[in-house]
Amino acid sequence: MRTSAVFSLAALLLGGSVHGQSPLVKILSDELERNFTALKQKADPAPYFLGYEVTDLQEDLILASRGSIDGQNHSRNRILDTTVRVGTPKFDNYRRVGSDRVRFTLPTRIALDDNADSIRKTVWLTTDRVYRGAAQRLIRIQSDEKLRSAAADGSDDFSVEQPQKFFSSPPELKFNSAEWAARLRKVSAEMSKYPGAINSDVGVEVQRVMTTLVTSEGTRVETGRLFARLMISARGKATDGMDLGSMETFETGDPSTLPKDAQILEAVERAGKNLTALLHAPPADPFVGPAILSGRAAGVFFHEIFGHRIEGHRQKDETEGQTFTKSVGKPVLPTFLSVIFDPTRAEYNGITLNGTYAYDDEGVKARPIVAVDKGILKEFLMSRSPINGFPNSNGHGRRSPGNEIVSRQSNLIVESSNKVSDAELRKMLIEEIKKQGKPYGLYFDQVTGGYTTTASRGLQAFTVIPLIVYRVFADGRPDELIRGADIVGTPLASFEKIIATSDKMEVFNGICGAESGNVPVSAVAPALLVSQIEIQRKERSQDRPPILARPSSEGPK
Amino acid sequence: MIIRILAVSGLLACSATLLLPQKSDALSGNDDVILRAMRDELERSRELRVVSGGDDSPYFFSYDLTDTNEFHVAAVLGSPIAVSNVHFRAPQVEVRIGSYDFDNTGHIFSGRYSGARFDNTFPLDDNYMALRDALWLSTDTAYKTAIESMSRKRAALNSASAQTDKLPDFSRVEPVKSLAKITRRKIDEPAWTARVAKLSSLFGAFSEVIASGLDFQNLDGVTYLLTSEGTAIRYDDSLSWFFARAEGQTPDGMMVRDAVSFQALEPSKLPSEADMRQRLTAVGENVRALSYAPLGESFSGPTLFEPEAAAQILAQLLGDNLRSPRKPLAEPGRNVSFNPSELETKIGSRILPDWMDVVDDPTQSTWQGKPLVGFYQFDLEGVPGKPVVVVEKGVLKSFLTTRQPLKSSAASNGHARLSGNYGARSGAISNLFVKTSQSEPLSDLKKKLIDMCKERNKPYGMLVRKLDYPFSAGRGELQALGQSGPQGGGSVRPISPPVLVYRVYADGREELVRGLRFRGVSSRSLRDVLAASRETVLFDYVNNGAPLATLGAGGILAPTSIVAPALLFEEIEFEVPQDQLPKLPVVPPPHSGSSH
Repeated sequence: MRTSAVFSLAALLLGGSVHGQSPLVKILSDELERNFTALKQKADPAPYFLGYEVTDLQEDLILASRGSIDGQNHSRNRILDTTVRVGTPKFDNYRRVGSDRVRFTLPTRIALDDNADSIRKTVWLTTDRVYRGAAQRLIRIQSDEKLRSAAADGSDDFSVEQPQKFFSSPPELKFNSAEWAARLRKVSAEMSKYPGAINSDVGVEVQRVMTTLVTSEGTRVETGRLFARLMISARGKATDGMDLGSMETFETGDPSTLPKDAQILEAVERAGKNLTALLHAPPADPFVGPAILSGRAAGVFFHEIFGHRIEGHRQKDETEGQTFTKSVGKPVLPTFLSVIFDPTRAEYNGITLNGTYAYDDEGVKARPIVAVDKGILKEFLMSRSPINGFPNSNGHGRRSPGNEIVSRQSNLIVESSNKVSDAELRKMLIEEIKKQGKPYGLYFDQVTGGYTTTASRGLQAFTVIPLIVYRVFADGRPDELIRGADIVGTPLASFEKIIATSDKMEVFNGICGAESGNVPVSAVAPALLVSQIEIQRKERSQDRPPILARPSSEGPK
Repeated sequence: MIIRILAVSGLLACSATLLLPQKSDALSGNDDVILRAMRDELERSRELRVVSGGDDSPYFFSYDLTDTNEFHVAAVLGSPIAVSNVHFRAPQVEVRIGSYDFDNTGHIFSGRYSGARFDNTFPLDDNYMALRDALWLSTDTAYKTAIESMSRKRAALNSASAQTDKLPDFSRVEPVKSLAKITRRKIDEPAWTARVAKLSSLFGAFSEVIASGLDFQNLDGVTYLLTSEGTAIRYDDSLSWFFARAEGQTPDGMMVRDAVSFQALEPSKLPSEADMRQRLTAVGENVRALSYAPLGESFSGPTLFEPEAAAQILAQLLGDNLRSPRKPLAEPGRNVSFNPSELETKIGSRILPDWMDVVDDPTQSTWQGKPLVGFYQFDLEGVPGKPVVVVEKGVLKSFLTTRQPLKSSAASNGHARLSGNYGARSGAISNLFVKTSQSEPLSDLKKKLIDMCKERNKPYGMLVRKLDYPFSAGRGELQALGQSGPQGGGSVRPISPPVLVYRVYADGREELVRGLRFRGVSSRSLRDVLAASRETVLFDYVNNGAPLATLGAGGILAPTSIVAPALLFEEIEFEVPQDQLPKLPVVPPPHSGSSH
């Protein structure tokens, strides 16, 4: 495994120690009480729910390229998000109507110190503005409702949940920027050894995120975490114009466990060599046939084609494809596969999981859920927006500041009962190649992530962007790296084609972007053998590599 | 975000360096690794050719780099809400192919590149090789961009009928060599943070102010510019400024606001704290007064702009029309978004009364002992700023030009201050001096205003003391203004609404009214100026090329000064926008200290 992080679960979830509430909790609570009481008495329509969430984000970022610092930034922000619900939990201003994407919150910066006068005035004015938007929409959709045929899913708009009280704070952020700048200069210079890397960088990012949530239901939650990431990336251009890249990343919940120089240098070398090999590899040809997806590639595959489709709010959005809406209790995956979402799990095999949290953004306590049990769909990812058969949240209401909360993924874990060693899996691939009479099969080693369309109007397709793909030959020839392969296909079809999995789990950590912003997630999965996968050749840009040689290759004048 | 500003204050240091016997490398720039990397890579770039050659060869290169330490504090009611300190380098590499007569600029897609970019970062270290590497990638992209633009331009010309006036695309200039010795300033960040926070608390004293904020931005920068024509300059390029906004709401729900900005070319030249305190307090007082002021009504008649308001309206009606961009080429039938100068065809025509002259002079650094922020030595194209007689005896004489030739003037007068469109820079005013050969005391102008009203049986005339310029409201209000302009028969561009506008009654009494905006006002209105005051005022602001120089919009920053007298207009039209007013907040504001 790449990181030697010794990680403590308690440190992440409890932030070292359970502590008393911060002064901000009281300031927000006082102002919440005052606004909620007055609005309930005097406003028409009256709110039945008011919530404030403040995200305090402290961040350090350093980026270096070929021995020089390219960017350095230290920042701290406190962003207020305001939730006002008017009407009733049965029918409120958040109701999904047609293709409306609502956004009521007005992300607002508040004082970085706990200056009650400054914060209260900002909170008061923001509440007024958010209330107005909420009231306007309720009135509009209430009158429109008379003209609308009944929705297929007539669930309520807001679930009833137990108010929570929980106070923790992550440790202070310790980051020595001068030391890191010096290290990054040193390690990034190593990329100069790879002339194919037209540009490259090594970056480190450390964050301390703390959220403070207070609601009119009595929830008072403060949680947070530290997060650190080291990224290495290199980009180049093949002689035919194809843009290629390679990358390496490390994530950890404790900045002091970021990799040491030797480990970073190894990764720089790997990224450099991978890119160089790609630049000289033959381009992919369109292909349909058997393949192995590495655990990390499989993780992305599941995140994109499965995870996004079981996000609860999509099941009652009539503009969505609703692939699985009516599949609860039915088989959706091979019987040897189960899928679990576990935000309470902080690490897997010593690797920090990126989608970990103690409470979601609606103050619902995180818990593991079994979404698919032995192939059968059991549960959706739920925020406090109920759907048919699922009246409650299971702690997956998430957002980044400035967005409205929807259900999102956390740590996706694919478990398999049909697992074999990596060597056995490869043997099975070769048998499958022979059986299908194909010249070769594929091995997807590294992927960067992907995107997916879930809307009903769009094609129900997904694309995962592979970085490192090999042709695996049945006749014992060595594997051949190819470049520019894109996986294409339709989701349901690809699930049926999983034959077996490896017995080794791998972790993919990433940032997932969707309606409610960018949230950290991870996907843990074994390598998958699929009987059929389809690739297309990546669209190629027409421009040439740089015309003049790199100046450093000519020497100083 | 790229923020660049143009200014020079190291002039003395510069001339001292130039006079020293040149044994050292100071003049050649060899002591400066940035300059050396720029020069060496620019020299090597001359080898750039596409395989096919032909007239796609570069004829001009320019490397422009600003190295800036930016410190920013935003504060609300006594507390910082954002503090940042960023070191950035903003390189701008330009490659022109073809010839001065016909090159890759001036097409609607000039500057667009469809290929992959590899020049998204730039070294912050003084690392010679890393700097050259980055410049190499930027040059490569700029060259390919030029080739792409050139092909499109040729294709467009091929399908269009012959152009009527064939102006060259780029003018020649004398190369300039000037390497000022720059001493970087350090500012005491915690002290400034505390100061900004403290100043922002002033608005807490006004219960009528429901939202307020204060921003301080200190940009300490050096700009380098090298061209293949031999220009090599290095100069101090700094700006230090404050801007504050305050907003209130009247009993009928109308939002009222006021704003102020203070700017200087270095922090030591900012107004004193006492002065800032006084002017910020005035903003609070203005919002308070506006909160209780009666709603104005439509009016058309004699209007007096006091000197500050006159400077603000001149910045828009005259200043913004002194740049004259060229319409870009496009395939026939394609819709081209283009915003010409309202004065485009007015060279030689009267645009102001014949007793008025207007000069734009970037070479002036002070006026009556006060610093002028529009002062600079070189513009964005490295051309020394020259004084320009813009209007003489009321007649438009010249535009403020860049190296893009105009029909009226082929040469640059060193006014390329803002980024333009379609591969060209945009001209902008620097220090604009409005001079009059006849003037009278302001008090007499007020009497004149009253007399005119009496003559015309008007119960009152209007007096404008301050406009919302630079504009302090959000995008929504800007859009509303933009729609109102052409409808009222005025400028296509929106005009800032007045903040402080008074009815002046026959007995001289002034009554503040709110909620008015101008109707039908454009550069043509300037011909109706009847008289000017003897008193003049220095008004300065930061122009950023955004509509109404909207506060806080990014881009290249061009600090600007205007010296102007009060102006009496024969007729100005005001209207009340028929906007829906928001309701008052249901919940009363929190009381100060109630949470302790």
